[in-house]
Amino acid sequence: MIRFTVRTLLKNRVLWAWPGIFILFVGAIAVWGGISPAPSSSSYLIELGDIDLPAGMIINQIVSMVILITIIGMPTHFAESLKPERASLLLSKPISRTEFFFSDIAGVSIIYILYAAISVILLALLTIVHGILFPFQHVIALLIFLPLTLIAYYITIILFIILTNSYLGGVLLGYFLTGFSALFINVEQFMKMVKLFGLEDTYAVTIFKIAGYFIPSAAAFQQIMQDMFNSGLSSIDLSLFGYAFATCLPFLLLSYYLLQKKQF
Amino acid sequence: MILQIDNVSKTFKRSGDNSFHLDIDHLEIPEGSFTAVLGPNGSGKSTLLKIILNLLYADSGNISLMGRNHKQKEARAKVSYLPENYSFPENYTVKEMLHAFSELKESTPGQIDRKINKLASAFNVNYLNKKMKNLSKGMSQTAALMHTFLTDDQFYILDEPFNGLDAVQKKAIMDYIFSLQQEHNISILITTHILSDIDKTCDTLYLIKNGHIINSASKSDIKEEFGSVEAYYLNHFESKDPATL
Repeated sequence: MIRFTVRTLLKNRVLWAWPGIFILFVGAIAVWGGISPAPSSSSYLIELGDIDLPAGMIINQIVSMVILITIIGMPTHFAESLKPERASLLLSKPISRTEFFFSDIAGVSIIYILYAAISVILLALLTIVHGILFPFQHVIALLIFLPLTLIAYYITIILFIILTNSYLGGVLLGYFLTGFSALFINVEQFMKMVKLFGLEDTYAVTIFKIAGYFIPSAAAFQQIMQDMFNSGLSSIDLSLFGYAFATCLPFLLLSYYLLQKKQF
Repeated sequence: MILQIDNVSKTFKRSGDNSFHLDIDHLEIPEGSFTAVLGPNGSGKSTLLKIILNLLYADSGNISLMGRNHKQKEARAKVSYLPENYSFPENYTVKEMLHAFSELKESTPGQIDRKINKLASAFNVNYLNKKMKNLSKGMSQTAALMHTFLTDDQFYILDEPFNGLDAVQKKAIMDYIFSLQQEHNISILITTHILSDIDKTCDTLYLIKNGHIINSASKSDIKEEFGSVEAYYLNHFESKDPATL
C-alpha cells in the first residue's frame, strides 16, 4: 500500500512544482546571482544584484511557497482514495483500514523526505560550486522540519477530507485551521494583545490554551525550522518540538477513528 | 464453503419513511460454483456484495468468507472484486494501473507482466500503453476486468461486469472465465440485470427484491420448470396487476 501511495504521488504533477521551484532558484542564482560565505556564521549569503542577503531569509521564502503548493497538491490522492469508487477497489484487497491509513501517512512522508532531499542536493550543489560547504543545520531543517511542518498540515487536511468527503473542504479548512496554530505558540503575546482591546476572560484564555493542544502545530515546526536557518542547531527549542509533536496526535487519532467507522 | 451468509441485516436510514432494509437469512456459495444474484435496480445487489467485502458494515449477522470472518483482511486474500462503479487513477496507463493494483496483493512485477500479456491476448486488448482517461467505456470496463482477473484468486465477485461491453468482448471474457473455472475450480458471484449474460453459465441463481432474497434455484430446476432464466426472472418480477406498474 505504501508503494501504491508513493507511485500515485510521484505522478502528481502539482507536487513536481516543489523540486521545480528549487531548480529555478538554483538556476537563477547560478546565472544571475552569487554565493559568498557569511562573515560571522557557518551559513552563507546570497548575492542578488548589489545586495547580500542571508541564505536563511531567502530559503524561508521559498519554503513558504513550497508549503502552499504541497498543501494544495498533496491531499488529492487521499480525497480520491476515499471516494467509494476507489476505496472499494483498494479495500476489497487484503488491506485493512488501519493499513490503508498509516500506509498513506508513510507514503506521503516518504515523498516529503524525497523532495526535501532533492532540494538539499540542489542547494548543496549551488554552494559547493562556490567553494562553500552547505551548512549542516540547513540539511536538518530541510530534511526533517520541512516534512514535519507539512505532515502537521496534512493531518488536519485528511481529518477534514474524511469529515466533509471533499478535497476542497479538507484543504481549505485544514489550511486555515493549521495556519491558526501560529497563535498558540505565542499565547502570552496574543493574550496581551487581546487585553489591549479590553477583552479579558479567564475561561476564554483557558479554552484558548487547551485548543492549542488540539490543532496540529505546523507553526511550531516551522518556527524551529526558521530558527535553525537563522541561528543553527543550538537554537532548537526541545519543549516547542515536543509540543508540536503532541498537537499532531489528537487529529491523527481522530482521523484514524473516523476512517475505521467510514463505510464505502 | 467459499461464502456463507446467515441472518445479515443492514438498514439505511433516509429522510422520512424512505429507509431501506437489507435482510439476508441465508446464502451460501460452494467451491467451484457460478452463482448469480438477480434483481431490479435498487434491490440491494451491490449493497450485499459490499457487505460481504466489509466495505459496508452489516448491522447484524454472520458472514464467513473463504472460511474466515469476512472482517479479517486475510479473508480477502484470495478474493477479487469488480465494483459496478470504479475509479482508477486517470493519469496511469492501463499497464501502470494493472501493476499498481495487483502489487497490492504482493505479486512480483515479473509475474504481473506475464499475466498482463496473457489477459491482453484473451481479452483482445491492444491499448496497454493508453492512459486510463483516454479509454472508451468498453475499453475501460475491459481494463477493469483485467484488473480483476490479474491475480490468481479463488473467488471472483463481479458487480455488473459486462456494462458497456459489446457481444464479441463479452464472449471473449466469458470464455476466459470458463477456462479459469475448468482449470482452477474458481468460484464466481455475479450480479447483473442482463439475463442473457448468465443464461448459459450459472449453476445457482438468487432473486433479490427490496433487500430480501425472494427465491433461489439451480440452473437445472429453472430449465425444467421455466425453460430459461428470463422466464424464471419475469415470473417473479413482472407485475401482473396493471395498478402496480
